[in-house]
Amino acid sequence: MATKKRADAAIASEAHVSTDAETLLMAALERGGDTSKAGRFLMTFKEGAMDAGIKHLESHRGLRLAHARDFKDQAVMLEEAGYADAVVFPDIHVALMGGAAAAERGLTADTSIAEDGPVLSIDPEYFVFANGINVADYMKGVVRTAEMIARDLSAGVGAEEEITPEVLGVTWGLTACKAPPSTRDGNGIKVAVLDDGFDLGHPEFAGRSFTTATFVGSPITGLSGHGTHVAGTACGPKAPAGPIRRYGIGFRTRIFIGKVLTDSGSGTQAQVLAGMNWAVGNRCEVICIALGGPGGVQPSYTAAGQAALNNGCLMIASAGQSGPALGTVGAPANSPTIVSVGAVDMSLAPATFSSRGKIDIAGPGVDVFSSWPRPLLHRTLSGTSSSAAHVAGCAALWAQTGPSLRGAALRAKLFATARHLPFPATAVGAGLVQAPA
Amino acid sequence: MKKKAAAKKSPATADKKAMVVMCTGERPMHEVAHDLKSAGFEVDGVLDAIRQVTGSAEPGLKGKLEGIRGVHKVHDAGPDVQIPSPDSPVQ
Repeated sequence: MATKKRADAAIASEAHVSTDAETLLMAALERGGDTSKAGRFLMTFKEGAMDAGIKHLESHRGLRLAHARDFKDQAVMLEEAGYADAVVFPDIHVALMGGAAAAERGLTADTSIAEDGPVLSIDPEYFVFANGINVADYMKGVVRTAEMIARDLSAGVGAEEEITPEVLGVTWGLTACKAPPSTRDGNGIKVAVLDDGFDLGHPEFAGRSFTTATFVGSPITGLSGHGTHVAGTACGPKAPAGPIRRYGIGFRTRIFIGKVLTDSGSGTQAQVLAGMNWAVGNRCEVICIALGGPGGVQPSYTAAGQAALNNGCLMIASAGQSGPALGTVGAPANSPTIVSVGAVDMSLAPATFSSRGKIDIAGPGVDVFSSWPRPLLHRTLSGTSSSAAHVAGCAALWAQTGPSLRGAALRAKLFATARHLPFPATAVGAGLVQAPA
Repeated sequence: MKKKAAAKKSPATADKKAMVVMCTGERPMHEVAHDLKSAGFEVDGVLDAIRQVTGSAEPGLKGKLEGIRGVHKVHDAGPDVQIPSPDSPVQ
């Protein structure tokens, strides 16, 4: 935790009378355990005994008091109680005491009360919620909001958050990969997508650089959308028109579409190899292969992956959807010369379906919003295909940062900068891919 | 630039199996492909950048093909790849 966050928590945990409800909630969540208590106390006085009781607290216990009468129309605005130790509500015979003030005087809910004294009871203050509110969800919302504010204030310096909140106008996957704050756009980097084609007439890709080839005898713009969805994540536009959130990472990359799958989604090894050959021949720095087949490691794919590395290219493949059992990574991802990508969900945990075993790195792969052929234009899908697409997009941004980041060097950079996740490497590899600053 | 490389499908018939020839790179690929063809290998794709030749041949021919200069290994083509149908929620 960053120093600022720790300090905030320390202040909040003292639960002053002027501390606002959300800060109290945050502190309670951070404390853990019984999060129903705000950390302050309510002192209830016997009828007619309040004045005497309050006087005693002031003179003998040194409590600084704020009275309801101090406020206009006796409407107490707790946030304006300043550094008062307690706020007195005379008409209901209750005083609210701050956590620190209570602790200093050894007062807790367990304090034994003199029977002939002015105090009726001392009780912990509890949070209350509107009926119908799911308290757990509400708490999560409070945490998310506070984190977003903290991030804005600290301008991204050092703070490490547990869960990455969704920033409006961008998909959760891009946010998790830190694509939006990146200053890179993939300009000049060639990204090959070997898949079932692409809808070249998609309005959000008008004016983009496209080089295409089909290896299955049918046209690039087909009926199936898998390739469109994958290319959308890796290379989609910075600011789609209208109310559409940003879903693409390398928005100025040069897109190479190699159709190696028919519209029914199948391809022979020969067709895949032909596509690989084309991408390497064109020196595409990033080659996204979001498809897979059964069987063990294929020597041909391994050799193709090596040829890619030898020529300054990096192949990135989806691990497959045969998880969560081990040993389920398909080809070509299982080749040692090809980066294998597993899927994580919004909580950054491995998706159940994600294949396990030889996994090099992870990418967002659940409920991923991206482009789709006309007329639908967009679709939300899950799969390691999307994970590979996120890695490919980030790889393009990294490649842009320096001419030496190619092939094996690019691969090493991706692994070194991945965000560590608390899960086995057989599920997430080096961790969640991150875009460069 | 749009390029259309029409796929020549070499159907693996009853006596021919789909194969992939991995080359050493010591000879130009088109020369190796020529020799493969002469030896009875039906050439589908000459893949220069990744040093492989795809095609089909009778299973018994493997040994002879591997004897050709510039050939590293000949193996049966691996399984097809498949992506789930567009309607599938997990892709």
